Amino acid sequence: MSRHQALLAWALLVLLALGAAQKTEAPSCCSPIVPRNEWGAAASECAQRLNLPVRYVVVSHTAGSTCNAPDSCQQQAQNVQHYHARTLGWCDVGYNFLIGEDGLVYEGRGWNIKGDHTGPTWNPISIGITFMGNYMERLPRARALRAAQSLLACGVAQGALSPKYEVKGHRDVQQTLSPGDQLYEAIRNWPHYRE
Amino acid sequence: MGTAQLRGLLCVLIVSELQGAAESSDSEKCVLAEGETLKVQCPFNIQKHAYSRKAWQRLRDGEEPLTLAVTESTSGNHSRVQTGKVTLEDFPLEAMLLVRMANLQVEDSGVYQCVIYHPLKDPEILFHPVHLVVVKEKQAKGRQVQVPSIRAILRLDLLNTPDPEKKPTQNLPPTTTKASSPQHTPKFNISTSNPTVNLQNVSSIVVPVVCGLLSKSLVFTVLLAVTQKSFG
Repeated sequence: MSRHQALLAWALLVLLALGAAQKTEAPSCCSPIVPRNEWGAAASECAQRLNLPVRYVVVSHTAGSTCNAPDSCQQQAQNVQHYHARTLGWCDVGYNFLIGEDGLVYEGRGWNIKGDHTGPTWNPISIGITFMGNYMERLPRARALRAAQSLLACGVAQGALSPKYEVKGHRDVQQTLSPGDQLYEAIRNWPHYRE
Repeated sequence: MGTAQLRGLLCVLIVSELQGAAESSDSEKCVLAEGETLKVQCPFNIQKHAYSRKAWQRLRDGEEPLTLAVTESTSGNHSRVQTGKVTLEDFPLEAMLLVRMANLQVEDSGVYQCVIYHPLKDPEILFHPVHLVVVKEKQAKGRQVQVPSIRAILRLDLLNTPDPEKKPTQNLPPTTTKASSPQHTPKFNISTSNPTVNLQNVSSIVVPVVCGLLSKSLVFTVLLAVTQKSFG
């Protein structure tokens, strides 16, 4: 009888294991993104949507001031938006996401709206993420690089990015120094980077 | 006017992505009807290849790839070349080669690729090989409903390339290097009745359900056997 009970216990274990295996297929969890209202973004007037899932990600830098803490990064995100929307007259900040060296991701146009970051050919087919700062001479802090990679993983999990998405450096597709020599070398090691 | 002939479809390969693992992961599959136009966007590295010649090739079993068209210009300006039904447009300042293959016929079915053209060296492959399947118009009739909605989606990718339904006069500003200002208004009407989208929804539900049912029934069979044995 005890042998039968053991068998029964094994069968139950198998059942549990199968259940657990199915649960692991659930989308990986996404790190929080600082929403627009939290960093004090002005309302967006953009209407053009992206066709999801997007195949390309273009990584740039702002070549402006860097920021190390939530307060200064929030201010920097506002500055970039002010420049794009007020000075240049665009419908919103140009990037889909902005990464601060505080390790946080600031929501720009998000996953669904076409950005203005890489010209008329690439804007409709890519997500533009930018690192706030100038990365010609130095790398962003590791936490900022981690935040960016985890953002992209989240994009795949949400179905906004194609699972076989390709990362491009801004200088790979436009005549620019962005995203800076140091950051460019770093993203070339990312698994989805394709020259 | 034959609408099929005017119908430009960019195979950006939503379809292939939905078909999942059945296809080789590196090639992009594209199914079009006779008379339609294949459009492919092939990005290249602007630092390396703004001045390189680019080509569109057909792959053949056991033979060298057949070069169907090659761009001539190495001046770094926008250039356009047409060879038979193939049109290549090089946008060097946008790091993009746009390929169009018009008036498709069943015999055009096959595998194609964009390359950086080196006459003496092995070509450098851009984008991914494109696995094109051209079906008869009759078979395509059944797709008539789905074509507009796919087209609406694909149109977005083509936002800034000349629309095949208009005269191809729209050129990109040749010196635009900074980020663009919003100037195009896409027709955006993704239809929820798009069959390819439904296909994905259905398969994404059916597969786990079937797997779940199979595994559960296996476990319960074992359980039943065990209990019968223990009481028998």
